[in-house]
Amino acid sequence: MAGKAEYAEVIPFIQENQAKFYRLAYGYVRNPDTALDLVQDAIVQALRKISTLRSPEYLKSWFYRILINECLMYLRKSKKVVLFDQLEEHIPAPEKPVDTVDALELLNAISHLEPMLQTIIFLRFYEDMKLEEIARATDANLNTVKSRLYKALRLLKLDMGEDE
Amino acid sequence: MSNRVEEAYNCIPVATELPDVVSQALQRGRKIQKRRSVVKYMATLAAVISLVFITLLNTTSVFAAAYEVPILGDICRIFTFKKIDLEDETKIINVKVPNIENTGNTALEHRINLEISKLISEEVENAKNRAQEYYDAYLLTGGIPGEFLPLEVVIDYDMKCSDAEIVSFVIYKFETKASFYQENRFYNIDLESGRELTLRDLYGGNYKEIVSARVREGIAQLSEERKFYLFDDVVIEDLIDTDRHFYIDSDKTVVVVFQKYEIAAGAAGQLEFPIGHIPEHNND
Repeated sequence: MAGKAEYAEVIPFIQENQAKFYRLAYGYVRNPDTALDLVQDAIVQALRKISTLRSPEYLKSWFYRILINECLMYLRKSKKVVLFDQLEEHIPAPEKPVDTVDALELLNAISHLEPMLQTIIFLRFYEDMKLEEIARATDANLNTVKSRLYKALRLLKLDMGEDE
Repeated sequence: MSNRVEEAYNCIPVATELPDVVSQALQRGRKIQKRRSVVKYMATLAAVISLVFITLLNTTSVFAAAYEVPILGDICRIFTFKKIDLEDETKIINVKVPNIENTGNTALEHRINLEISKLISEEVENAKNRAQEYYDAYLLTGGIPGEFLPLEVVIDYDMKCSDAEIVSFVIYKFETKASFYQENRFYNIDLESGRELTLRDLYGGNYKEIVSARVREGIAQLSEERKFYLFDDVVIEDLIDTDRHFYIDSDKTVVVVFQKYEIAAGAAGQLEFPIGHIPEHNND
């Protein structure tokens, strides 16, 4: 049952994590306006479907599930092919003195994975979610999540020519 | 790995509009929420099944080429002619009514636009009635008014292909409610003659063999997982006739569509098979 308590927790959760939502959406569509639209739609959907949130502990995976669905539906509908070059255009040099080339390379590699693999990498390593949570968020069973994760990692290493 | 992924994603600059967009969305969501504020839906909500209704319209002037190339000032466009948004305790309906323009054939344009408008307003009317029926039945069976889950209907469109010769687009309808209902509507209209196009028009007298062969190739290439869902007793030839649904994709590929349950179990969803580039000309 969703009550007022759950509802009260959703708003701050969304406000605090909006940048993450945006980055996930951007990773799929690589266009700022579309990413904004998708985040907006996901929030409206989430509030509309708040009664499907069973307990606050599922908040994160529940919301991501809605956001991911919005994004994947968009991708399916638009079937847009995003060109490799378009990605870099929107990405100015990061402020921090991190190893920027590597980070950008990795970002490029990630965003060339198929959407579901991208999702797994994002949720596991950026959102630091447990595999069970990822399974809930992506509506898949644990074994599927595991094999997707291994596949994504394998592909990334191949892509990057890494030996990490 | 975790750190590196974080660094990578942090390279994506966040749009400055994001906070505004988020608070607007929260407001919009709140309004909807308010209306159902006392609502406590059961956790296991009615299964959300999307109802797909597709109207496909392929207009092409390809056959006009043999006679006279129509002078087209611009490429045919599709635009939102009208938006319909209806919300109350029984339903949430969000509809975009598309119109086409710049086809170079005003009479045809009018006819098609009128047809689209008529089709969609019938759909909206039906949805309204259905929502009311559900609502009445719900109350009759002892449901609490505030807890009714409204029928949600979204009608939207998607341009498949548009150039000087062909326009092909899809009108989708998604309906969300415990029941399941699916309908596909396709129109294929020759821009010059105003006549409806069929696979026979595109591929000539042997269209059944040509199209079936390509579909079978497409089936052979399906993943094992999807093949598993295919019905065993389907004869593709029997399903390829002049009523077969198709659209023309942006790269001019003719794509044949089998709706859900037509050749495979529901889990396989709607199946689409590219047949090939649209034939250049046909002197029928």
